[in-house]
Amino acid sequence: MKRYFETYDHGPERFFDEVFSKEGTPRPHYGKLLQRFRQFSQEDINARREIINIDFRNQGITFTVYGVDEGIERIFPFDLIPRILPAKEWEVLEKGLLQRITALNEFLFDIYHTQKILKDKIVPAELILGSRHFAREFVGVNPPLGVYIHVTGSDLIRDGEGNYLVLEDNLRTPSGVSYMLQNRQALKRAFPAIFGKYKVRPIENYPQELLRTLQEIAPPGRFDPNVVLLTPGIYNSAYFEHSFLARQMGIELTEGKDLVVNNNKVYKRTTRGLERVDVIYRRVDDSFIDPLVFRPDSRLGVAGLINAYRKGNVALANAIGTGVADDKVIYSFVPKIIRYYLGEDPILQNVPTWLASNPADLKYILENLGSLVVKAANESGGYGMLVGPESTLAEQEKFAEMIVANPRNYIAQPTISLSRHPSFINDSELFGCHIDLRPYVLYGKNVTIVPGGLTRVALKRGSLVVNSSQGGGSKDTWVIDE
Amino acid sequence: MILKVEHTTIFEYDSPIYETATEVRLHPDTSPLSPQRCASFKLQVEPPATIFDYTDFYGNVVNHFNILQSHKKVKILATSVVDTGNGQSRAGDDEEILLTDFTGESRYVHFDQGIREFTSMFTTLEDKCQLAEHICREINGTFVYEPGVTDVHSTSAVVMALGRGVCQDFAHVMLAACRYLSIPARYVSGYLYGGGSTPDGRDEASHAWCEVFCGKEKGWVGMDPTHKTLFADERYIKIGSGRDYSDVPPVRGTYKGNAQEKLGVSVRVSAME
Repeated sequence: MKRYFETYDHGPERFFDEVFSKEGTPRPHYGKLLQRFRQFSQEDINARREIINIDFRNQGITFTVYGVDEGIERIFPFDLIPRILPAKEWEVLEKGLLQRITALNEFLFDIYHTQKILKDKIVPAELILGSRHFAREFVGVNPPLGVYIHVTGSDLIRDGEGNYLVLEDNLRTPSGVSYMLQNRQALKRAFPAIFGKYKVRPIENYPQELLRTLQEIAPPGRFDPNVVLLTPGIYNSAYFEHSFLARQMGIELTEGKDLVVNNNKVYKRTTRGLERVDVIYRRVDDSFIDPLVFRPDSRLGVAGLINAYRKGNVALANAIGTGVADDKVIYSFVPKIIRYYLGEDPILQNVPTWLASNPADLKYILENLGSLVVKAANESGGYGMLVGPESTLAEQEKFAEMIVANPRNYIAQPTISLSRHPSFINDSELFGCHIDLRPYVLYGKNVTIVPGGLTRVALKRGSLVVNSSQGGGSKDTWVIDE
Repeated sequence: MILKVEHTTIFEYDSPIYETATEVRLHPDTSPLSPQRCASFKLQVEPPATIFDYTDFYGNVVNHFNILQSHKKVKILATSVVDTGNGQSRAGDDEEILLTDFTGESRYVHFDQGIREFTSMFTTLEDKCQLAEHICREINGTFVYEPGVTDVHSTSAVVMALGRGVCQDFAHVMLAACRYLSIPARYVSGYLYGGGSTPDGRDEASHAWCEVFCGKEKGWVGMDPTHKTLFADERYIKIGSGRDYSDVPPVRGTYKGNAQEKLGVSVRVSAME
């Protein structure tokens, strides 16, 4: 009988394999896991997979696939082999994320107040004022505790040498944390013995930590604050997560139509009449959240909410206008932003990024279109993306024209290298699939980072796309103390 | 000149509506940089509502209120007394960053083919303020004042192609031309004493014009492409300014219910001396 990992190919050298070194020897922290998996037969694995599938289906853990299959709910593929991060490695990530999030929050405070960083010309003013996420409505407003980004999920990847790099910061309404929690539960149920062999840091208290963060930002004098979760509704792809988190926190799941603003305060409609709302964990985008201020055609929001928020009568998490700090151009300034506000060197590095608006960079981009990934900086541009190595000369020429015509709208990065991790690409076969990592950071009175996060995995041979809508799945992620 | 403004806005509905939320931008400019002084401002609303206020990104005072119970009519009466000035606002100390907002495109101000052709006749002039004056005169001389051909959402590109419109439209075209030639310019909402919004002064209503940035020394010079006099003076009462109309709409709101809305506006500007 064939044993698992007997024929595993740890792949080409340009990718970092999480489990095996370049020489093919297992990394020490995976030792016990490999030992156990080598003893499993295919029946053992199938039986466990069945347990998990039934479990997921019963709990309704699904996501909605947009597009051709609109409205179809699928089970989010869960890969049985967990990803393991030694505590030492994690501690560096933790420090790096803390530094990055602290600096980005200071940046947002500055941008929405004195704009010192613009006056000092560290970040060009036209990039901020020209960003469609810059909320003029929110300038001069003081969010509770001075915090803008209560929940973030930055995406991390590892280069060929295994260095962690930040691919993007998600400072608006990052999703996926419910999968992180469900994955842990599923894995503990399916592999209790292996789980017991490691000292895995717990993540189960995330909903309570989130609730505590939300309670901390309640308006002054509101003891025992009323916290609600605002969802766009059942047609949103993350609706499962919204209902899951609301249930876990023991708070009400509401839609825009359930709330109303009266005399600059927010209320929830109940059978007993209107009930004051103090904090809203909102999973509705800025542009839809208040038809009086933003898109007048939105039916997902609450008219007058922004004015109540400005007055401090209700708190929002995350704050309004945080998207100005996570667009693709501002991303390239984050190392400078960290140095500017904290006077420190960045602990976590960015993926190298060239800005077409910078003449020297522009020259480099145009000369290397065949090997770079070019992205439109402003998502609303809609010109898409050029993946150099997979493009034709004609496509490259077309992009060159667009870049020259509007350099401010383009950035370029080297073709992304994602590390690989053994994963089941079908019932019996293990393959080194590409993965990333999205740790979740909570920011209230203090910064709390859940150990690990969500590891997303591209469950197609060679694919670099880890998104759930494109055949991606996820893994349980362990931070272990040795 | 001390002027009194009575501005009445009435929304009527053919069936009951409820949960209206309304923002009002009718408070005369109170900025210390402004040449005018706002002596008093009173806002009355029917059905009665508690009125709140805040100051927006551009320094405009915004009043807002809501009405929960069902109603078929909302009346908003704004009464203000203003001691007017010469139509020029001083430049702020921190203006440089803000100028970015007044040199690019915005919701109703577009750099289309029409504006590129229109501005090609001006490019030889050196002095930017003079250049803006020429643009203002050109629009005043060649565009036809005609209500009803445009609406509040018409862009500068639409007006440019039509060659006609009302004060708001001319202001948008002037902004597009100035900004396309890198002259910072902003949209001004307000009133005009004895002139209204029409060139012949028949109609009394809200008015709109532009302010052009003529350097730190001269500040923002008010220019009005709708009237032959071209420059704002003590007959002009400024409410506020922004990138275009969308930043300073006099009244903006939402409501629930299914009804046809009818809007009635009347403005009276009278001299108090």
